[in-house]
Amino acid sequence: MSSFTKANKPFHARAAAWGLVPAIVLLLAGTALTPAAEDVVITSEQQGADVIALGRTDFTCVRGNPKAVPYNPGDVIGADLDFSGRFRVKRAPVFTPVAKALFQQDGALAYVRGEYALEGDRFSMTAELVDINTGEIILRKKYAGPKDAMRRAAHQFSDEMVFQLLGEKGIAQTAIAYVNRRGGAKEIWSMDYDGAGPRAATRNGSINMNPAFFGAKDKVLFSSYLRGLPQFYLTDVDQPAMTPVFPSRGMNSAPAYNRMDKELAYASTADGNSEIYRRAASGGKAERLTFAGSIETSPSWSPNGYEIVFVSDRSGAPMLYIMDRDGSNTRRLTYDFAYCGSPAWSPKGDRIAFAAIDDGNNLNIYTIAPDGSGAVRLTSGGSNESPAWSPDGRFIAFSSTRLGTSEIFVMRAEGGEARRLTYSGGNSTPAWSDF
Amino acid sequence: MNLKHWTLAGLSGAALMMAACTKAPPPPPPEPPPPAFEEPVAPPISAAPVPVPPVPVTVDTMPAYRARIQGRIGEVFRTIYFAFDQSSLTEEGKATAEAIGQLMKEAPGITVRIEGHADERGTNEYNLALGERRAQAVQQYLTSYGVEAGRISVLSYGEEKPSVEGGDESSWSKNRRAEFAPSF
Repeated sequence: MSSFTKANKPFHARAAAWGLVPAIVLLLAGTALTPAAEDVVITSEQQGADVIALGRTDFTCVRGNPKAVPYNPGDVIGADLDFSGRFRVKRAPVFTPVAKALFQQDGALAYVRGEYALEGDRFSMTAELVDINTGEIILRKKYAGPKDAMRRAAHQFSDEMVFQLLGEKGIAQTAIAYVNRRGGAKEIWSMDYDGAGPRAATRNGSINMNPAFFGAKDKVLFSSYLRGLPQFYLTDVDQPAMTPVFPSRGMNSAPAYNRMDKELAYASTADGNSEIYRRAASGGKAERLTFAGSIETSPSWSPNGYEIVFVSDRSGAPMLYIMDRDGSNTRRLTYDFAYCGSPAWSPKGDRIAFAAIDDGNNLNIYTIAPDGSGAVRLTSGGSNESPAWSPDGRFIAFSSTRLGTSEIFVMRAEGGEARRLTYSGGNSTPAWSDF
Repeated sequence: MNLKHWTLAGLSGAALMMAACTKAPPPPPPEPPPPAFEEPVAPPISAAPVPVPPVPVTVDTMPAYRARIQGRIGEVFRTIYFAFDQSSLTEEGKATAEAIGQLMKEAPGITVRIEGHADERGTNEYNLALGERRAQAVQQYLTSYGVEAGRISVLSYGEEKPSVEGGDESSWSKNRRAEFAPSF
């Protein structure tokens, strides 16, 4: 037991505080964690054997018409847990002896159940994680609010489970912003991390591009041709707006937010050609960071805000470089490609995702260590562009033309099967919100 | 009264008027009350002064001049195409740019916005800068040809505004381009 108590300190501490130690220890003891190993940490690299088995039943609608919402909250939670890669979930409509046997056969020691009520415009919901054998409730949460928010509540419970059982934040309440093209217009859209609820965040008929979350889950900064040269605007994904911010000479694009220091790095032609600039998110004067005279663009911050990875074609072809936050100490990161673009530094700092051409015309998503070692290709088929990390660093969203039209997909940070999130065609350049 | 002054006044008036209108090739706007002319265009500086009659003969030649320049604009401002990931002008591109430079020197009322574009390959951000570089390459060609820099502005659409949809070289080659939005 002590072997993984150490690794799962957050959960252990919390569970002890809640008086849940016996139940949860029992729950985890049933998984394939190796008791002999020191420092067992459940990571994405260890998926498979370390996946926690769970059962779940459909949530019961106790009042109101269940058809008033197009989903069962149990399905939303089940999909979240499955997608997280940390749980293996077996579903049964209701908890019966047969269901119990089904869950246990799969190695589950607990299951998720719940009930909800729909009255007028409001919902209430109770979700529970229950010990299969004893019936003891390990985790119970109640939610209420406007009916539209029930899906969000289900995601919240999924995150709660990840936090309580694994001691980490879950991503089920995050959002993805992207660009949707219709005819000649490109608008900024956003959707839930699982592709649900796509909605327009701009409606101006112009060309809007390069969305980046700007310090909050509902604030998206982007570049727009609305008034001629591309300039930055801010919108609220729930209340579309076109608020001009950081007006500057030239074309301004490729914004990247540094949440450590509340700063913005971006590309601008304010001084002639495309160079990288930095400025406080609160406004103030822009500081020019690059002076190479070649094309410099696509900055992305290291998670500690000390460094910026960016694209430059100073060598002839676009390659990745890293510089310190003040523009000094620039070193080249990539060599073995014909073309590199749109780098994205992982939230843990250990990898940089980017799109590259190694042969032919198509881009593929790669990751590489910040010291230039260990480049790994993660995609194949079609053109794969614009990687964006989930805030927990376990997933990468990207756009791909593998099925013909350009759509947004999500895959594990190590690659593998990708989950399609959009279906309308013409979707590109995803940005993933913070938690 | 000196005819040369009249002519310059007329031309710069037209230039000012058009400079205010920066959008893509506009249909000729309604004619302002034009100054009277006796001759179609400005005579060469060296031309001998022509006696001006006390009452100008009301033969309005401005519309003819404008129509002629408009016609030339339509012929000369042709799209310039580029090779993959390149921003240097091909021989054909240079010939096009030269003809544009020639006309712009001839008709000082013309201003132009050069719009650079890239094909869909590569990233949106890099292509935005590449389109800018292409537009600037044309701008540089024109200024070195003698066109005043102030009459040229550049804008890049990167890969955001393809002229042809499609995922093959025949489409891509039509999208790697610099287009012109002249005003006169």
